[in-house]
Amino acid sequence: MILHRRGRTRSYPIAVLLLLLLIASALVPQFFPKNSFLLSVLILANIWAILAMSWDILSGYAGQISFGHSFFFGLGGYTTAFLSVLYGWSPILVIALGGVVAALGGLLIAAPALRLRGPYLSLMTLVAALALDRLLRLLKPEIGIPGAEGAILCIPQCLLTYNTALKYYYSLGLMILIAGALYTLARSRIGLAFEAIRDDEEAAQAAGINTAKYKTLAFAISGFVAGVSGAFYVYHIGSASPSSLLDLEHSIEVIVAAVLGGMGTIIGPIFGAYFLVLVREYLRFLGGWRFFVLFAVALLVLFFVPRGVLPELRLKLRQWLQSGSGQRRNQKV
Amino acid sequence: MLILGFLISSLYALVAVGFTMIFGVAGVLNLAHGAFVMVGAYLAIWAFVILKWSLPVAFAFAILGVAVIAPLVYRVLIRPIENRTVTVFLATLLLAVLLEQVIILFFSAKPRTDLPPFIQGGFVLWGTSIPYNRLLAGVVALVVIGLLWAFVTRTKTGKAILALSMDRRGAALVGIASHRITLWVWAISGALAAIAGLFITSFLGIQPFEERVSLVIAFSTVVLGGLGSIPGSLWAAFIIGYAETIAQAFAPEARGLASLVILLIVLTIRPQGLFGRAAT
Repeated sequence: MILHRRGRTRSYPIAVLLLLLLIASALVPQFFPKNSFLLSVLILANIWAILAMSWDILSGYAGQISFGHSFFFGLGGYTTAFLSVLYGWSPILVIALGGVVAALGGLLIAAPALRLRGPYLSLMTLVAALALDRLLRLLKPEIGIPGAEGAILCIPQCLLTYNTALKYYYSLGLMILIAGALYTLARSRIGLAFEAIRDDEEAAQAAGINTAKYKTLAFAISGFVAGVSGAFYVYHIGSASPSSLLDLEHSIEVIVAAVLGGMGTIIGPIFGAYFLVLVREYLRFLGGWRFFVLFAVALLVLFFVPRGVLPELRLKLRQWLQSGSGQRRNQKV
Repeated sequence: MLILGFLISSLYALVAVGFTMIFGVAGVLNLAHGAFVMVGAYLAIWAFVILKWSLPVAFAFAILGVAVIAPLVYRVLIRPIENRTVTVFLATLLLAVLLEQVIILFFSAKPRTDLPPFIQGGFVLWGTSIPYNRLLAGVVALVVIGLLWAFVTRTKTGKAILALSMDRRGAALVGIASHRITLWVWAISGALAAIAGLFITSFLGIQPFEERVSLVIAFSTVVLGGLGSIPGSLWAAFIIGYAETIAQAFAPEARGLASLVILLIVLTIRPQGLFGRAAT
């Protein structure tokens, strides 16, 4: 596992498919110019995709299963709300700073987390998210919404644009940028070190990998990306509150998205997140049933397709292509 | 407060012992354990309020129900993926949220307080009023733990459970059918969770998301006591139980918070807990 580098075998059909999907998603506002509901659902999907990828780099790659990813999401979101209301800085700067603060949060968690493993670590992240939630509820900011605990309303300061299509393009661009960066990172030596730590921490250490350094790095990177998604979310909804940013549901949904799409693939969780958000927003008429369906599907996928849907499809596709070319060869002979 | 703390602690002990038994014997951290507590309570509400069965029958039904559901969960869901720790971990988490949704679909997310106390009335001791129901809960919890102890140390199945929790391979070597015993453990653990759920509900009421509080309390208790150690979780249950009672006396909404703080301290200072073996 350590010597063998995955991903050397490139599958062009998948790459072509991704490119087609990309073009299709770029054209969505052209085809549905009036459908602003669809666009804002897709913006949410992009935000959730970023969050799911950030979970994947820490939990899918480095094997540090996080149950409290809303911690980073919330840190990024609150930083954004504060900075945009208090100083009115430009969105790019504010979103980046949201990421930086969340990355610092990642370092903060990494310090005790380095000593913990498996379920203890997961629990630690969960506790961090719950503690931040309680802390923010104590907050009584001057700029807060009266009556709501710890909530900050930042319209119009944190409104990117009234043009939903433009906002959609921003979110799509950000999502693709982050996907590219994380994908490259995952295929680099750093990603390799993460996988080594996930598969066998002692062996990784014995092979000369500074596990403490790489685990801390994983927390910081994951925190940064999750913080960026939280920051963008606040720009999308125009407010920050413990219940919208630190809901435990977010942490669970992110795990569901990654499990569905395929943990440890970076690209898989994007699809998982899209599926999740589309089901959540478009099947509202089903009420609570849609969550039941989502969680049930996730459980079934975990059970029957433990690698996730995307890696499984890729494997099937490759097998099919190979068997196809094999038959052709036989026909020639 | 001393006595109330003792009584609530004994219920926490029930939840925690079940949780730690599954970990000790099956090596599974069952994140759906809180959900078992909740399912027990809702089964009783269903039987008592909707089917209008008498209270003792409803209680028995709920306990038996969870004692059947829990091994079923193990047999159907967990056993095929037993060797993949991360998958099991995520699967029990998903099961927990799935059960929450099922309960919300059938009973709505509103808190239910219509499970009456098992016995009415109470008495006053040194200035604190103690409802008989709480006293009964404490007595039942202690008796159940006592019975469990006798079961584990005296009977053949019980000894097999103990052997399994010490060493899986060694147990297999002396001919213990680990799958059958593990089913037993899940059943016992489910029944203990249900008993605790019934009593907790009859004093505090219940709502679907409540299971997370139960899980956090069980987890903190078990981590404090040392994962897999039954005496450890008993001691820890009393520490956590008193901490919760004292915290609740000052701020009622702090239920679940005291255990979080204790958990955080334990995790950073002594992750293996008071009685635990070093984490591997």
